[in-house]
Amino acid sequence: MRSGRRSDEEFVEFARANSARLQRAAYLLTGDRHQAEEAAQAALVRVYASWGRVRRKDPYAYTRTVLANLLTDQWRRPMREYATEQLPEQPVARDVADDVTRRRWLIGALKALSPRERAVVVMRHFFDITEVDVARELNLSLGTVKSLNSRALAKLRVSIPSPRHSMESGAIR
Amino acid sequence: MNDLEDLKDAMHSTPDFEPRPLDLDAVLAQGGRLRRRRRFAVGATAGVAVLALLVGGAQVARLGHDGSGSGSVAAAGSPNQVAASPAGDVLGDVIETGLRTPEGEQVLWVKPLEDEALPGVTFGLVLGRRTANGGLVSDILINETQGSDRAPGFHSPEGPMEVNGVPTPAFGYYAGADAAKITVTADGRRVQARTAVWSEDPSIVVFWFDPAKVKSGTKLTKLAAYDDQDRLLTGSGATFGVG
Repeated sequence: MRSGRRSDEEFVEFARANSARLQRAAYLLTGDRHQAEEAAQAALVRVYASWGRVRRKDPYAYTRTVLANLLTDQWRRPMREYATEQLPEQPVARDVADDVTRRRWLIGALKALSPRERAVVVMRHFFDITEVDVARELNLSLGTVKSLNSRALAKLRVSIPSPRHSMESGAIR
Repeated sequence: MNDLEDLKDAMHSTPDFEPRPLDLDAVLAQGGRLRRRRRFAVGATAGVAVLALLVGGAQVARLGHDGSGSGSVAAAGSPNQVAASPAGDVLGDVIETGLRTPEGEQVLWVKPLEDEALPGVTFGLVLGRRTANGGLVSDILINETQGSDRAPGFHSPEGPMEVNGVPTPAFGYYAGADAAKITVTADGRRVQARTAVWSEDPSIVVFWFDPAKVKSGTKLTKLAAYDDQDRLLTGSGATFGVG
């Protein structure tokens, strides 16, 4: 009983420490505040149900996988969002100092990606996990992940860093 | 052009979204209910008590587990099936998988379930082990969580895992008497499941994949059921759960 209470306390501590990041990821994946809160909460429910098994391993990675699975479930629903080639116009005379404007445009552009493109971008560049892990967690082939990532970054007008630059900045995993 | 750091910065500081505190009391309550439905009894830490009884000439193992019970009939039987009668929380025959582990052979059985939140669910499928003394230890319980547990198609298939270092197979059940073959694509290779019909309802086809062929971490796609004419059946394309 005492052990169960300690386990619950550990879970609550884990949930408090990570719920903001999970919600932000869920917001990036769904584009909707309410869905984000619901998805993050649903993921934590599943993690708590398996907490005894995952608490000594890597509960954050497990939670990320659960969130990815929730997303995969959404892909299978008939009512799905389709990719669009029409992205928000990037401000022509972008004020480089205006970080908020740039962030807002990027988030708007992210929302306009297809669900799979968006998921790959979030898993790869928000959670910062390898393409191999993205493929495994989203149940996609590595080639598909590479292709989706490349296409999504092009739509987001994100320049892909050269390998040399990437290695220096630690971006390659 | 933006650079990758711009994108990462934008994703980590979403200007129009600020996370709010989640209702963790609700998480604990819902998670606790889910845990009771999908219960993992992991080796000795699960506190499983085994009491072997002799009933009607058959050896019956009754398991106490967090207040719930489970029992089975153990006997030497033909491959995949053990001839037995319902006992305790085991509905119908215990299914032998032929998968041996240091803790005993992995077996499958159907367990009755009752939950007000799941009016369409009357049973779940347990993956467990038969111990050397003939008792049963449950490892993984899966069950439908939406709609009817007998609706045509796959129900909550579970992916391969490791429990206490022992590989557990991908397994589940398909509702539909026409199912003659079940396959999955594992890392691009098509693998056929072993199957057994539930003794209490021939429309329920229990399946499992050899963990040597479908390992934990394998990318699984195209879970599919076919009839005896090799025609694809409804519900094919379901995905496996994680944990």
